[in-house]
Amino acid sequence: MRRGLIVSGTLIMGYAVIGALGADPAGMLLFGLAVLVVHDFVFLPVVLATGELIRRTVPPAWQATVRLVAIIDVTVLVVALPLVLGLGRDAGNPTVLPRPYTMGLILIVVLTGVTAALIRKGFERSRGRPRK
Amino acid sequence: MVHHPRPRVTQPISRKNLSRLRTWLFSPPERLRAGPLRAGAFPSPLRSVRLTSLLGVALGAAFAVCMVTGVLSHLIQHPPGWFVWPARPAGLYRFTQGLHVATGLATVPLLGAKLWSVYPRLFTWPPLRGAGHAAERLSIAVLVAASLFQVVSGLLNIAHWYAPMPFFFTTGHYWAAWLAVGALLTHVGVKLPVVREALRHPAAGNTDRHPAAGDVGRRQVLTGVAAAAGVITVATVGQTFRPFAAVSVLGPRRPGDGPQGLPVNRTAAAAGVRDTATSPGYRLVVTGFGHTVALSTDDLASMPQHTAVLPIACVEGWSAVGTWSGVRLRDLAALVGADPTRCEAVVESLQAGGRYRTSVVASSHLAAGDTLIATGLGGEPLALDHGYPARLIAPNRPGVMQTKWVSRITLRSTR
Repeated sequence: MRRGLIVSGTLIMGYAVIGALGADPAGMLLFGLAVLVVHDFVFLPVVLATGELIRRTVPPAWQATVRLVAIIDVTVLVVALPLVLGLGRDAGNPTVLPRPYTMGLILIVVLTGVTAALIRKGFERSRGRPRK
Repeated sequence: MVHHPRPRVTQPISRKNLSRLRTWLFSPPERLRAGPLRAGAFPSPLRSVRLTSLLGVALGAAFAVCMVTGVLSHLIQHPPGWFVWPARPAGLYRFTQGLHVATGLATVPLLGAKLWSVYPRLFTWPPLRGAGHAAERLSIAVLVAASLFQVVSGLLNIAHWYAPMPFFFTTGHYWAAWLAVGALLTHVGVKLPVVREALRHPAAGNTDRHPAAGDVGRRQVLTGVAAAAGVITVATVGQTFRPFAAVSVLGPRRPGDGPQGLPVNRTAAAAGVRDTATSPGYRLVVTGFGHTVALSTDDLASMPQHTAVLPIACVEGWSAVGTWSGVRLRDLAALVGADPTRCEAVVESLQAGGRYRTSVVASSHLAAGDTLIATGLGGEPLALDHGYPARLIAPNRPGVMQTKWVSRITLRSTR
């Protein structure tokens, strides 16, 4: 089974490369490398530094809750960023990106923070109880 | 003046040098082991093989959903001879493409957490242990790059932000999907024993000295990832699932927006058809099987009128339902003596160019009673941005194939 997966996976990768060669391989390669480098050497180090900051500055009783909010908010930020920047807006077509996305993002950050603070005690209690 | 090229001095790489290079490459000097490469550089007790395995299984399922729905959308738009896409259920494409985009969005926290959980492995020491190890690392780099490519390009597409993508989105997204799936299958093949072990024995692979702490940490991360996926889904799914429209504050589209309550992807001005579409000289030409008829808007209005409640379901994942009225496409086919069950229609727009200027309506849709050349929407004449004076609207079809500003319909036998 493992050999079958590896062989079929390699064949599919070959199919993809041949297909991409007929499209725009240089642009695709550039974009793929750019997202890889930005993720591995900019985005994740920032995430790790944020985690370390939480570990050092947040009181132990709040650590799990703050980390939970941070996980939610950082991923929401990734989704919201292209919408908040709004560079895809079209003056001639107001139905594209019609909402106030900065306000939406702030609303989610506030709501997740408040909700997590309200349920903190239950959450901290449950995480202190290993299941097995 | 004549230059005499100097004879090039080449120094063949000796076997000794090659072996020295290999030794340096596969067991590099310890003094290079600095920064993230040093032992214990990533002390978080939250990481474990079991957490990585669980995230991997969830991510694999999400990728499978995206791949199946994505390939389906591709087949509908570029159908090979063996592929038949039915007209019923009318909202099936709306569902599959909404699922494609919603799953892709929910993948953001899953992929983020998965890559965070294996990040220390990027700085493994020695970086390369041999040719096999190098090949495995290369395939993982391909998997990570292709996965990020898919998620980021998908996000940029739904935000209509094309400048950062130096390629045509649809084609790039399609081929990178195959690359990601191929690399994923290879990765699963390589890691299967580790994953099986980690899933069978929950405590196995905890990086923490205390298994209980690893268990707690894992639950904490998984709760965060699930909550993040939930928040993202609620914040965006309203672009296709109307009950959530009010709370989807990050929805790139809002059903109900736009002229006659429907969002627009390409306006008449952007398509360059404002003048031709509003010209009194407009005629809809229906041709095929040796006959041609040219119909004015009055001619279309004098034909039997029908109403259909159908969604516009965009490839970008948004959808909105409209009440369309107009002439059945099969009635227009009958004007040139075509049998709708045995032929297909090529529908052309007034647009001078562009990838979506024409679309083909297969016999399964051509014969359907609710496939219309619509001239009205919501009881009013069609708005210019929705395709005035006449547009195609058919059940169970991507929005890009619902050709607007229709100028010509060619009936031909099914290939």
